Amino acid sequence: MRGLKSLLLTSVVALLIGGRHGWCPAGDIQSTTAWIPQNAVATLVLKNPTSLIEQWEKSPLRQTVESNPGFRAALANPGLKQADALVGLVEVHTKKDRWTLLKQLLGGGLFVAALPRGEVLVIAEAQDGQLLRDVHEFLLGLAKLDAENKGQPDRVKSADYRGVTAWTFGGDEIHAIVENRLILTNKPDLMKQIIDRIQDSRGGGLRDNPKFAAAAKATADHNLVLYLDLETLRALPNVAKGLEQGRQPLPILLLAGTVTALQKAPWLAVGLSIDGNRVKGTLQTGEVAEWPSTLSFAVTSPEDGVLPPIHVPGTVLTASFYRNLRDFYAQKNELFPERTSGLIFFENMMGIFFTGRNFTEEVLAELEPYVRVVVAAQRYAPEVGTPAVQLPAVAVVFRMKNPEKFQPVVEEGFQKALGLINFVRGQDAKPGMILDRPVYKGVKYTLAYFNPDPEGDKEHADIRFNFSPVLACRDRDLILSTAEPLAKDILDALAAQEAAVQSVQKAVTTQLEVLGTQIVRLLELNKEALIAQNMAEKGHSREKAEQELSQLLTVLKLLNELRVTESFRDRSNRWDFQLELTRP
Amino acid sequence: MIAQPEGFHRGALDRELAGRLLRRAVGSLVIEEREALVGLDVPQALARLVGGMQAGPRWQEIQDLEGMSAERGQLAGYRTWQLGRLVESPQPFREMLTLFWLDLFAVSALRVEPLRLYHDFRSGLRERAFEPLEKVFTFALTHPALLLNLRAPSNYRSQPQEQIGRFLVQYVVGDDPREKAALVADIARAYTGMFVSSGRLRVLDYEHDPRPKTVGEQRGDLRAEDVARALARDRATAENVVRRLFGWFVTTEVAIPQQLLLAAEEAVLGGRPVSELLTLLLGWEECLKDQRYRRVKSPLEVYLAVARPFGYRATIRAAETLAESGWDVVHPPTLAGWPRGQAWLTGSQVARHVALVRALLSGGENWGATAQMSEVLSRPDWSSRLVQTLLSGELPAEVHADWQKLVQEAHDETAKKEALAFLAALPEFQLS
Repeated sequence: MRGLKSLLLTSVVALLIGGRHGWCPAGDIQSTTAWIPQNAVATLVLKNPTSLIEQWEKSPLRQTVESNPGFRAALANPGLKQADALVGLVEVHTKKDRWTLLKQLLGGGLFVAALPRGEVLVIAEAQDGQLLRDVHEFLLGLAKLDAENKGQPDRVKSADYRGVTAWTFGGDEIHAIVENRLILTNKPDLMKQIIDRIQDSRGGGLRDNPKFAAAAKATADHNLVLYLDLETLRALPNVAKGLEQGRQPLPILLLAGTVTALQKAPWLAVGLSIDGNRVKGTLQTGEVAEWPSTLSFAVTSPEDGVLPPIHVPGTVLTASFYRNLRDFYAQKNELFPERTSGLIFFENMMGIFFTGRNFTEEVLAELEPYVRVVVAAQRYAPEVGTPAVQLPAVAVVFRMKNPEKFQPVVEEGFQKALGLINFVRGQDAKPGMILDRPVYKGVKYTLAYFNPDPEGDKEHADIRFNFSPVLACRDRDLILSTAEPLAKDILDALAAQEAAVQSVQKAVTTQLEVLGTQIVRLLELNKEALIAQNMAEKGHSREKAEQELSQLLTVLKLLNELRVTESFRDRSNRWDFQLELTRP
Repeated sequence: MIAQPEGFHRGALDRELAGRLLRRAVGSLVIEEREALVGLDVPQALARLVGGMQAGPRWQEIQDLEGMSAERGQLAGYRTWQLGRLVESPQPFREMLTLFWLDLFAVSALRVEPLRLYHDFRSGLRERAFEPLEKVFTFALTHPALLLNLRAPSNYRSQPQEQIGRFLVQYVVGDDPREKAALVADIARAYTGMFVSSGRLRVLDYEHDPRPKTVGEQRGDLRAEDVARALARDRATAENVVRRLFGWFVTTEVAIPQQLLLAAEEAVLGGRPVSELLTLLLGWEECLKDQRYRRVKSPLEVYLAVARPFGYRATIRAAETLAESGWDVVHPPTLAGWPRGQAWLTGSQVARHVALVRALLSGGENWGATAQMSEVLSRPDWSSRLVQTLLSGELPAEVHADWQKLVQEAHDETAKKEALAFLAALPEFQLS
């Protein structure tokens, strides 16, 4: 605890948040990374703290966070209050406000590295080296004065090593100032190693590590970069165990490429930058020498990729995947060898629905590797009423290879499934669905719907009225939707896409867009149900539950749109995301 | 009011007897509730328990949420609000008695669809809980939920559902259905013509078997409501109900005293309200004073023993943990009802009980903790309050020294909670 306090004291200026002044150029990243040992397992580099501070100040997220009661309560913590008072003293001493101090002390960059055997290294590069030394002297003086006032022995100790003075405020903390950089570690031997590297001007630092160099190149556009040496991390038992878990079909189908990359790639880099209301990020792994053959279902050829996502009115989420479902299912014994009851049930059902056809070779093999998913807010017909709990509609759009041959097969399977659902519901004396074959803009589709309840409350209708399942085939596209309005919207969207140029996005295997405004709308529509859920889960009063939901909605309202893409290029896996924030 | 026979406790209740009466009636002890009973005689105390107390600020909300979850078929929420009733109801005695009736008729929310039908059954039982047996039976034995629960939604004249007869003979009358084949068949025929569809009961007269049937003292073209009335006036049924009530509220480990059994049977057959019957059972002096009459706590009682006095609120987590422990508040697992007595005294069950208390103490908001626990533990008399709240009598002599040590060393809330957990691990806590 004492060590932690000392560490806090030394790095207090680095904990300051905020800033109001002009942009300051970043320092020399290359020379600082040369000081960090090459065997760093995890390294966080903030290239241009000034820019981040200024972006943060402008960010709508900041206002939301600062007005959050939880955040305010955290600031009332005695430790943070003490730190705030200390910063106030430094402000008086240097005659500079905290934001100017922060920029001048960190403006050259901030580097945090974790090394094997629990070693931690922090390097803060100041724009003004003299100011750094001045603040440091002042803090040393304060620490000595504090010890005197408490009648304690002086906690501040120092030692020279090859002409460099290192200090400690006690505990495990040790720090030194070299040129305009503050070096802080938790191990004296590491400090000596750093000083040796500086004094001897020898290489062998992280800068010369080819893995780090590749990671830095992949995230060159970003201000904040996290580099992980996966080869070292994978040797840790917990990490290896974590990567081994998750043998469930759906996560494998969606994330197998990334998980495999984490298991085989030499490094991982995460980059983050803020530009106005936009937060951009990248997650990239190093090159994998050879992708396992079982992953063929999720890796595209350089010329292939996903189809454009489908947009409909009220879209909550739209996604487009490149997944070869035939290859995926054919390798199920390797991908998810455990024969769970769920899988056995699924296979039995598929056997029934598809009349004993081979599910891999006669069903899934009929589908192209283009799968699109749409989740959208619902519209309800007045005669049906609005359900008390409004669920979003979900649709999956497959592309068939031989529509003439496959459409009747899937139509038969769909009707059997509906019949089975009706049969089971009938056993429980629940209302069943009526099957129909209406036509929409020339497309004849299969619809199942619940008859409206003439005596029912139209404003709080039963949850079943969220469902009116549809199977529709339009040319090569096969649409399976939980609700008829969404199926119609998709038919319109497909017609519009057809009119425009429709081509695949090369090398992209996943594309996802999430619209925060629609999520907020759905949550607001289901506010009562969510409040009840919160009260039941946490035993809260209604007032407290409403407060929690309101906080969640406040945060979600900031999220305008999230776009995510996954791609495979040059034998490496890459995720790019872009988050658009709205101003409150 | 029923005449007080010899053997009934007369005179004012002292603190110990009031505490015992309260624990038996509501499954837990809140010191302020006990103090309100001290100085009253048994009938006065029971009348106060039947009447209940002032509702708390959340009560109306719990009822609204319970109704909403039933209407929407949300079982997890419904289960939670039922547990919420047991914790926060202003009439906890009525809630415990409602559970007794659900135990007797063994109707489960997992066997009845839709949930609102089960809710209607449960609410109806609650409303009639203290009324004469005939009213309770007439409601319960003609309710569609009972038929669905017995997998008998369709009762054709050509195909009487004998499982109805078997269930009533075995669990309500308390006889062996194999030896009462005629009664089983007659009851099944009395139910013919009753159909449950989409959660509604329809009676089709042309499907009813009009031939004569005999149930108890009644003979003729009996229907379900006649069966209910006949059983409510039947001596064997009365004896069974009295024994089950005695087991539920007093103990299953010691037989009911013969004199009490006879007096209670007469009360039932005389058409007295169940509240008067319970006054007899809970106010019988021998059972009230003799320490042998202790019942083994079920997981629900372990939960209530901590949750009610220390201001916990029911949560999904708590309700589901109880369900995993074998005490799902909406699901008696078999037609015999919930397990009782020695079934909860196995090594693994006792370990589960201790784990449940520890989870409540350390689990935070998912377990519904409120500031009330801290308030109790910050009082100067916290240690004696814990003993009074959790144990029926004095602390056993053999653990006195350990307890004193725990109390002396308990300088913070964590240590005081550890002391509470110590009490909950004692056999005296498991038996109340």
